[in-house]
Amino acid sequence: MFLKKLKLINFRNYDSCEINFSGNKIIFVGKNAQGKTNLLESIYYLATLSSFKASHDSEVIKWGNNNAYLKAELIKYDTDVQLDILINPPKTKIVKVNGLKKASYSQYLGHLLVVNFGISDLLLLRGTPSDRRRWLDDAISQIYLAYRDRLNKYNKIKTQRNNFLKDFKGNINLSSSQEELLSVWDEQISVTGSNIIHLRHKYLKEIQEIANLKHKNISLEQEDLVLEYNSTVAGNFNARNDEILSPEIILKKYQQKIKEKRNEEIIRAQTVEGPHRDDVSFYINNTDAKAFASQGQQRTIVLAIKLSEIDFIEKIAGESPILLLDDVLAELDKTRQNYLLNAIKPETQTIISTTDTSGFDEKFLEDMEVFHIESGKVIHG
Amino acid sequence: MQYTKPLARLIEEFQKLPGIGPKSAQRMAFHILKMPSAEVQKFCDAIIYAKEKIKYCRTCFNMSSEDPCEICSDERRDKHTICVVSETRDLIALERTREYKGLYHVLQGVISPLDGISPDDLRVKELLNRLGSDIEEIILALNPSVEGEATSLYLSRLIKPLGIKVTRIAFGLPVGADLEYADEVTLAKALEGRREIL
Repeated sequence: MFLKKLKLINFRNYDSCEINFSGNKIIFVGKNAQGKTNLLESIYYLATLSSFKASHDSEVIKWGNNNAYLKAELIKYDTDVQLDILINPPKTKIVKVNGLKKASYSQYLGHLLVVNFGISDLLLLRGTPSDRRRWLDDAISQIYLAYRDRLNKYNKIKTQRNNFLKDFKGNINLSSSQEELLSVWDEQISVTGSNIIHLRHKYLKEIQEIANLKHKNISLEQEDLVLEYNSTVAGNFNARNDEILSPEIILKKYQQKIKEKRNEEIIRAQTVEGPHRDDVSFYINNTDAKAFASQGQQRTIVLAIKLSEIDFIEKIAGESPILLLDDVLAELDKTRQNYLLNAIKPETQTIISTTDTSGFDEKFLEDMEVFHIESGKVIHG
Repeated sequence: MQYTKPLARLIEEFQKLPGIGPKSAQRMAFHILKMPSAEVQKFCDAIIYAKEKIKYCRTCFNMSSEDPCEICSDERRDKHTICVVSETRDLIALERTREYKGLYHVLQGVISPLDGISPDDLRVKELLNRLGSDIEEIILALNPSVEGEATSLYLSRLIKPLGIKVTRIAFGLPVGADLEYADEVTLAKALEGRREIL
């Protein structure tokens, strides 16, 4: 897929900005805090309806304004597609495809597909389990379009269930009607949670061997990568060796776990286990990379899984997603930088932001379309 | 400039209504000030009259000026089936289909610990009291939200042991919708609720 035109109004530090792209390899050059990342963020937002750095929509709106507007014109399956978003908090945002307003986000999502690779991704293995879940959830929701909805539902059930648990004030002796009601919340959370775990298994299984192949190439055949999903309710899932568990089997384990944790959950007034506490592990030659890999090895893993995301989306959607590289090239050493640039296929539209281009390969820069960014203004060439 | 006090108060009152923001509230307040006094009086009377006259049916908790309500006292209705809804407006939506001939029970809400609503705050006990030997089926027609589903699940656990058939209205594809245009969430729901063709 190919992004032809991007338009931003009152988004971050941009008043109004329109950029036309003609090439497949695009680079935004500028000093820090000029608005390079904001451009990538706007593309990411057009794809996923959420930001990779803001937690609230109001943060992306230019100071002093009530709303922001984004527009993208792209070519997908050889035809023109236009996307419009009006971000107008606290109201729900208005989303349009080809000028037609969509009533639900799931009708909008999936039109523009991106893989974002930024500095924070490099810290994926050093980060918290919640960083890794966020990576996994963002990747999955681009492929399985009902996944985001399931996650939202799970979070709603969890909030309700936690509030319900608070009512007992730590007293584990429940009346029979309280017991009945608790089992209702248990059933709801375990059914929805099992579905989420199942899709996470499925996704990791899908990218396991693609990621391993990429990883082998970068590490010159020396290292073997295995992904593992660590579920607090359904145990560990080795993406290479284990069969994907069906939602029904996960549900059985889940409900067993809930029984075991009943008293603890009442005392702590919290849902203590479930997909919101799960994690992903990465093994290099059977060693846990989160604990033992060097910083360089960890970066190789991140590179491998990001590249496998692109391949997998391409396999499912039939077209390559747009790759966003936010400041990340400067953070990689020459070997990994070259590997990354060479691994990107010519047909993958790649949008890079960087503070300077002196470190890049001459040959690579030749085909680049360069834009200079200076305090919210974009200058071509 | 600030509103003069009586106007500010009126706008404030309108804003308490569901779905009314500051701008709509302002528009309504200005409209009322332009109306002839007699019209305003009529409007106020209508509100107070409705509030005084409309009560809840002691059997099904439907809003009605009669007790028992028009549906409960209608001899032609099937007294063996009760359809459980959360609000009177859901009952009205179902009545508009003219398909359902049984009785209703309005819970007046759904279970939501977040809002402090437990089964004791709903008309659950009253529903259980209605379940004599003449009741054959309970139809649960609650919204497919997290709270609605929790309430459905809870009720079915209470009622099933009594040997009464419990069913739930189906969610999923609207009739006449094309499969290819349905969004993924609706389709996922429709798949969940699929049934064997007999």
